[in-house]
Amino acid sequence: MSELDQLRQEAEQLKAQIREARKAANDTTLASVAANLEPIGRIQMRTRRTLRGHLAKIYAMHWASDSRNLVSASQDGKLIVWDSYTTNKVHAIPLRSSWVMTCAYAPSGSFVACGGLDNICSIYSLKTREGNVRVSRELPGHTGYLSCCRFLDDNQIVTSSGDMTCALWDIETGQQVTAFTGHTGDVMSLSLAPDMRTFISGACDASAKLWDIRDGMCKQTFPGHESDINAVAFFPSGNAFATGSDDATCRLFDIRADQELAMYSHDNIICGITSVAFSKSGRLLFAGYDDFNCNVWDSMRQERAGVLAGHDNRVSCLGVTEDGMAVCTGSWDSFLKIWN
Amino acid sequence: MYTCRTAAVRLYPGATTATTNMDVAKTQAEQLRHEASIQRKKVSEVAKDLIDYCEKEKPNDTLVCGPSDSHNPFQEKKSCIVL
Repeated sequence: MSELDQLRQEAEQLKAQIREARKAANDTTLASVAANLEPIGRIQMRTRRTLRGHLAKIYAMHWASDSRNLVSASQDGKLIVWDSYTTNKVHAIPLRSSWVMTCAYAPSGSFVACGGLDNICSIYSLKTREGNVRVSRELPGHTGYLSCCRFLDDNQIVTSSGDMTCALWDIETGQQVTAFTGHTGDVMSLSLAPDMRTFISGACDASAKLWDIRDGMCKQTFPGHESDINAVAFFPSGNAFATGSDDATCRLFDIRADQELAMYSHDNIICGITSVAFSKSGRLLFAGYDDFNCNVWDSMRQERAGVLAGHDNRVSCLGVTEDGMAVCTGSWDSFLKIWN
Repeated sequence: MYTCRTAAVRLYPGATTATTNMDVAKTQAEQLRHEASIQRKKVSEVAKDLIDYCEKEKPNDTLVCGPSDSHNPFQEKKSCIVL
C-alpha cells in the first residue's frame, strides 16, 4: 500500500473512531431529559418599533453592547446606526462598496465594521475628534467575499469568508494574525464564545467547526446538517451552539459531548434558515426563514413556541440584545423590526 | 462533514500547485487524530447542564417571562390626541 493509501485508510479509521466515541457518549436524548420541563407557553411578541430608512434589502444587523443602538447594512450601500428606543438614525454611513453582506458593532461602541463582495473588512470610527464617521482601516487579504465579522475588542476582529477560511486581524497593523483553515466550503457565519477564547464557524460544507482563537487550531468538527449552514450562534453558557441551514432545520450541538443534541424542524417548514439567536437564558431560539417569518423555538423541548410575522420578504438577519430585552429582525423588505 | 461537496480537485485555500494530495492527506489525518483524541461528556450530563442553565437564568429572561410595563424601554409610546 502506498503511503498515500495508508494515510487515507488511517483517516477512515479515525472517522469511524469518532463516530463510535460519539455514540458511546449518546446515553440519552435532550428531548427525554427535557420531557418533564415546564412548557413556556405560547410566546406572543409585538412589534415595538419599525426602523425605516434603508432603500434596499437589509443583509445584516448587530446590536451594540448598550442594548439600545444597533447597526444595519443594506445593499443600498449604507450602514445605518439606529437608536432603537427613539428610532432615530444616529449615523448614516455611505459605503465604498454597496455589496455588503455583514456588519458588526465593537463592544466599546466606538467602531463598526462591514464587508461583502469586495472581500474587504472595513472598520469605521464612530467617535472621531471631528465628529464625523470615517473609514479608519481596511483589511484586505481574503480571496473571497466577507460573510461575517465580529470584534473581540477595538483592535481585534474575526472574519469569515467565501474563500473557505476565517481570520483574526490586528486592526492597527491591518495584518492577519491567524488564519483558520479547514472548511471545504464557503464559510457563511461565525459566533464568538462568551469567554472570547473560541468561536464557532458554519460553512457550505454542511459542518460547523470550533476554533481556538489564539492558536488557530480547529478543536472540533460537527457534522449533521444536510446542506449549507447559513448561521451559527453560541448558547449563552458557552457550552453549546445552534445552527441554521438550507436543509430547513436548526440544530443544537453540545461542545463537551461533541455532538448534535436537538433538531428544530417541521414537515411544513421547507425553506432555509438565514439567521439564529438565543434569548438571554438560552430557552428561546429565534430563527429567521426565507418564507418571511421568524420562528421562536423552545430550545429544550424542541417545540415551536411562537412566530414573529410581519415582514413582507425574507428575514435575513436577527439579533437579541445583551440585556435580553428585545429581539430585532431585519429583512429584504428593507425594514428592521424590534419585538418583545 | 466528511463528504466533500465541492469538486475533488479543489485545493485548500493557500494551496499552490506544489501542494500535493499527500499534503492534503497528511493534514486531514493529523486533524482527525486531534479530533478523535478529545474527551467527551455524556449527553445525560450535558443536557441536564443546559436545562439547569435555562431554569437558573429564566427570571432574567424578559423574552420568556414578558417585560414588566414599568421597565420596558420598548413600551410603545402612547399617542396624544390634540383636541
